[in-house]
Amino acid sequence: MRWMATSRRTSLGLLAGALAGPLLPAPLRAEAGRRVYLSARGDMHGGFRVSGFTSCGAAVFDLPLPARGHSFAVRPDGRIAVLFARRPGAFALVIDVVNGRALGTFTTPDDRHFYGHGAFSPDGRLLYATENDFAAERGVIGVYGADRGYRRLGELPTHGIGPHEVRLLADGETLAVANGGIATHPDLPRVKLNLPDMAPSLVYLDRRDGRLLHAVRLDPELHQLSIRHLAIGRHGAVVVAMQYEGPAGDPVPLIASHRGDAPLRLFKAPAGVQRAMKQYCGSIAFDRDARVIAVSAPRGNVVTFWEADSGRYLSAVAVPDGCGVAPAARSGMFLASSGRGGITMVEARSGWSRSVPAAFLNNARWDNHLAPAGPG
Amino acid sequence: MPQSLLVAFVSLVLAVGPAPGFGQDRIAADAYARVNAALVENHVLPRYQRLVEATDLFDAAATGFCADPKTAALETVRTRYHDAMDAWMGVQHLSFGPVDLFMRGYRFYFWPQARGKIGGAVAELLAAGDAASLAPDRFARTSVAAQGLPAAEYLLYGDTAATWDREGHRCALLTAVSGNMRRIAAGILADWRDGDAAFERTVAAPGQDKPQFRTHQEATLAFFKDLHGGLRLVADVKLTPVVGETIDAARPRAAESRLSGRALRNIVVNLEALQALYLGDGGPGLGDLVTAHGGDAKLDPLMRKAFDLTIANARSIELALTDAIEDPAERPKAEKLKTQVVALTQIVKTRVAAALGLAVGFNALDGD
Repeated sequence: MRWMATSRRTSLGLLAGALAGPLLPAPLRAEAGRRVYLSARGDMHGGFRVSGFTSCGAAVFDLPLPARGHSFAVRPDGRIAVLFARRPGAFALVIDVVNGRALGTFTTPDDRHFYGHGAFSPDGRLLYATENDFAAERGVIGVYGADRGYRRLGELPTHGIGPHEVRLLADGETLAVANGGIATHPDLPRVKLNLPDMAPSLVYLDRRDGRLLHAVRLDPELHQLSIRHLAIGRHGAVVVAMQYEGPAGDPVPLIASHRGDAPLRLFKAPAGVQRAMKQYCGSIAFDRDARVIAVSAPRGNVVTFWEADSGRYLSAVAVPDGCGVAPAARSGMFLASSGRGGITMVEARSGWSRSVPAAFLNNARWDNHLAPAGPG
Repeated sequence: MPQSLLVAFVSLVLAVGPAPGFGQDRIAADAYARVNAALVENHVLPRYQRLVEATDLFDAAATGFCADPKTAALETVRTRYHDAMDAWMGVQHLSFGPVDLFMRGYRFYFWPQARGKIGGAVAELLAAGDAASLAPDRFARTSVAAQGLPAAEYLLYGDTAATWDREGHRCALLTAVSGNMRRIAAGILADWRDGDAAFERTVAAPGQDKPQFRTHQEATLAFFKDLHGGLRLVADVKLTPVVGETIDAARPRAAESRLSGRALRNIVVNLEALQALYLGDGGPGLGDLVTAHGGDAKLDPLMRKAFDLTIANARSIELALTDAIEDPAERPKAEKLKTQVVALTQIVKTRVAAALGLAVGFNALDGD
């Protein structure tokens, strides 16, 4: 795997720049109790960066990346976040959110790459990341020692192909993993190899021993519905956002909720909303109280809002290439990011929205995910 | 080809920088509608018509050969296979509409996804020797790897292609494949053209209540995605991993159509089809939206020159691609071709998208 080895050296070399510290002239420190939103982004010169900012639009940090970043694992105390490379990237950047500094980098082994998502253990000592064992065409969770220099300690099979988002349930022991079902190989990085017979699943793993606790699948006629992203609600509720790989125009469900041993409950969208979402969800998040969910549909340039318990549609807001969604500080409110630049604040039940007025936010092309972090 | 022109084109393309701002609503809906209708009429329908004719002839040749297999007739089947490949390479970039239904695209040409699965799928069917499984309805539901052109190539050019056994299962499988391809091609053309639900009408009449296209601009976006996707397939799959960074890293085994030795031919036909999508195949094409409404006056001449130089360079390679990449004299042309197609892909993604008034963000072309 000479190709992989070369690209990894390059990554590390470029990241050395990031380690030198934040490039903002006077970085604003995240104050105690202040939430910092994290997102990878594109700059206006074809480069890639990762930024942290407050809900008012003040930049906390802005660090260079060697290639596109994707999403984050945030340590439960909110002070440390790990940014993962977009697939099939192999680098991860450890960020001190409070001081806005890059603390270091680590990579997958040569025969794995990141899918772009991860989660910390409750004590913050272990980090779980979705990875591709591409030679065997199977998904794994890489386990890294956060208190041991992010040394890779082992891996757990995800019992599926193409694991994408992983989150830890409130019990502190169960990992929920969205096996998207799509096989890819770094030799042909963006080619989907198995769409005719893909088989996505939502699985629950015991993080202590990797035991498969439960696997949930869609009906066979929906097997091309890739389960990609998920969010954790109250009382063990999990909601998933999906992307359809079948014929355009098929009116397939794109959002579902799940709990315990019950089957997946598919959300029914009003016909106009269904068409507007273009069969493609980009990310999903609960609001502060875990009663409302936001689901972005970036190909339809729309972010939609739903009542979590009933699955009832609430509202939608137009956001061009809008993909990242994250809970705001108040109940029922969210931030949504645009791939064309800008962050929008939304009140989900009324559909009220306004752009956060900040030049820093408007001049960045925000990549797919927005993650809340920061102490308190 | 003049070396200086080529260098000028590549450096020009690579120096494009970020896309100019999107000209929202700069192009009127009826301008999009006119180009969409013309592309269906002059590009999509005639090319699928040629695919139907080529698969009819391939099926007839295979059926005739299996009724009376003589060496000469096998050569006829092989010739018709190449004609069918040419026809498919001329529509390989078209990914939306009827080809997207019933997994027709995958069943007709499961590549590059197959990655060595073709031989296994074919061998399995040959070993099973189950004639009932080759009946059209059942065969259409068998492994996609065994259903289309790659399986036909394996049967006609694979290791065991020389040993045709008339009593055996091989002919039955070949005619099952050729008949399947004929029905798929006919279905695609009919669904574009015929009846009240013809996809031609879907393109012509978008609406907020329609599941496919809400606006004429969205239908143009579908054509644009196919222009970009077709170029990216040539750049990222057909050339980059095959040519390799150096002559020692060349990987002829990764080439498309390796058994029938037509990797370069595929690329030439692809590039000509993509050029035709841009120029319009005799009517207005995507390029007309660039010139008629663009604030980017230099773009259309650049695109025309880029396609011309790239195709001329591809045609100038005098060996099979699998040999050229390991030949010190011919390899520079293959490396140049890779650079040219990568550059064309980049310029389409940035400047052409912007000139067409299409918003192409992180998610439009390739999500996650």
